[in-house]
Amino acid sequence: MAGRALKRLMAEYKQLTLNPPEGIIAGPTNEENFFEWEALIMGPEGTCFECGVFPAKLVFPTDYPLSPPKMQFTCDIFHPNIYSDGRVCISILHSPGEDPMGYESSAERWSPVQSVEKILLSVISMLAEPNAESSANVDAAKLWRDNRAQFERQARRLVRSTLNLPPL
Amino acid sequence: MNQDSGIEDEQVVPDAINLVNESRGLPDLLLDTGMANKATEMTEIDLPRVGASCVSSNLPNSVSQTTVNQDELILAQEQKIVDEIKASTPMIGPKTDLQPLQQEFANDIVYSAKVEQLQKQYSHMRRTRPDGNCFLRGFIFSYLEHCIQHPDELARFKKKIVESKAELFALGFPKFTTEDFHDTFVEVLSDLEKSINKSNSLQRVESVINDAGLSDYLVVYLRLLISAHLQKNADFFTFFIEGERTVVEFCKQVLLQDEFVHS
Repeated sequence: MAGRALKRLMAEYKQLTLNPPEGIIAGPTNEENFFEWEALIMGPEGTCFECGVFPAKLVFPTDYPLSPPKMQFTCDIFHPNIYSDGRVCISILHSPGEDPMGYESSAERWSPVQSVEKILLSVISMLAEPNAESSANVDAAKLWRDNRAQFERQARRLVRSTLNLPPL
Repeated sequence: MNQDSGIEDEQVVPDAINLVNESRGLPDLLLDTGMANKATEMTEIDLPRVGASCVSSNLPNSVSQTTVNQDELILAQEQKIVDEIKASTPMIGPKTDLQPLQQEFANDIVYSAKVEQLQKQYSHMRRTRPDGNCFLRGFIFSYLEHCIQHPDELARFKKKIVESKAELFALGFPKFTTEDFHDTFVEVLSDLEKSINKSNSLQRVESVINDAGLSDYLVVYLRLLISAHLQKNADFFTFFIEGERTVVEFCKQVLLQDEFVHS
C-alpha cells in the first residue's frame, strides 16, 4: 500500500519539478522520506500577500492518494482559513465525510484524482480570496470582514517578515 | 456500529453473488451509491455523540480550542471504527456456504425469507468488507474470477479498459492522476493474463483484491468509469439524481469522493 503511495508521490514530485506551476516550489524535505514535503508558496499578485514567500510542510498518509495529506504553514501567518498554528483549513484537504467546518457542498473536496499541485493552487487562491464563512482563525476572519485596511496592513507586515525585511 | 455494519455486510452478499450470473452493465453498478451513502450516514450519526462527550470531559478554555479538539477527536473516533472493521473483515472473504446466514437472521422474518431464497439459487457466498466500496469490490472480484476462466472475456475487458483512457481524457479528467489508476488497472489485467489456466489463478485474483493498494486502485478506476458513463449520458441520468445537482456535481461529490475517506 505504502509502495503505491511512494510511486505516486515520486511521480508527482517529478511532474512538479519538470512543469512547476507559477508561484509554487514543492518537494520532499529529504529524499529518504517521500511522505514529508516542504513547499514554498508565493503570495498571489495583486493581493496583500503579494511578494511574500510562505513555507509550509505537507505530510502524506500511507494510503495517499486515497486520503489527502495534511498541510501546515511553518511561518507566522494571519489568515481566516489558517489556524494560528499554521494548519490549513481548506475544503480540498478534506473528504466530504469529514466536515468539521461546514463547507458549502459545492466546495471542491479531496478525491484520489486530485494532486499536490491542485492543493497548492487551491491554497494560493485561498490566500487571494479568504472564505470568512468557514474560519479557522476567528480573529483574522473578523478583521478581514470588519476592517479590511487593518487586515491588509497586518498581511503586508507578514510578507516583510517572510522575506527577512525589517518592518516599515 | 458493529451491528449496523453487519447488516450492510449481508445486504452485499446477494449483489456479489448475483454478478456471476447476471448482467454486468454499468447501470447495475449505480445501485451501490445508495448503499454507499448509507454507510456515510451511519458514521455521521455517531459523530455528535462523540463530539458531545469530548467537550464535557475536556472543557478546554478557549472557544476556538474546543472546535479544534473536537474535530480531531471526531476524526480519531472515525479512524478507530475503520480500523476495527479492517482488522475483523477481509476485503473479500473466503468461500463459505450460506448456512450461517440462517442463524444470523433467525429472528428476522423478512431476512430469513431472503436467505431461504438465496439458498435455492446459490451454493456458496463470500463476505465483503463493509467499507463503502463493497459493491464495486464484489463486482470486480466476481468479474475477474469469471475472466480468469474465460481468456476471451479477459482479453475483451482489457481492450475496453485500455481504450477507456482516451475517453476519460476527452471528458476532461485530470490526465496525470487518471493515468496512475488506469495504468495500475492494465498492469493487473496483464498480470492475470499470465495466470490463465494455471492452478493458482483463483488465488491470484483473491490476493489482488485483498491487496489494499491494488484493490482500492481498481475501485477508484471503476468509479472514474462510472462517472464518465453518467456524464456521457447525462440527459438520461439527470432524472435519477436527487437534490438540485447536475450529473457532474453528483459525480464529483458522491461518486469520486464519498467513500475514500476511510478506505
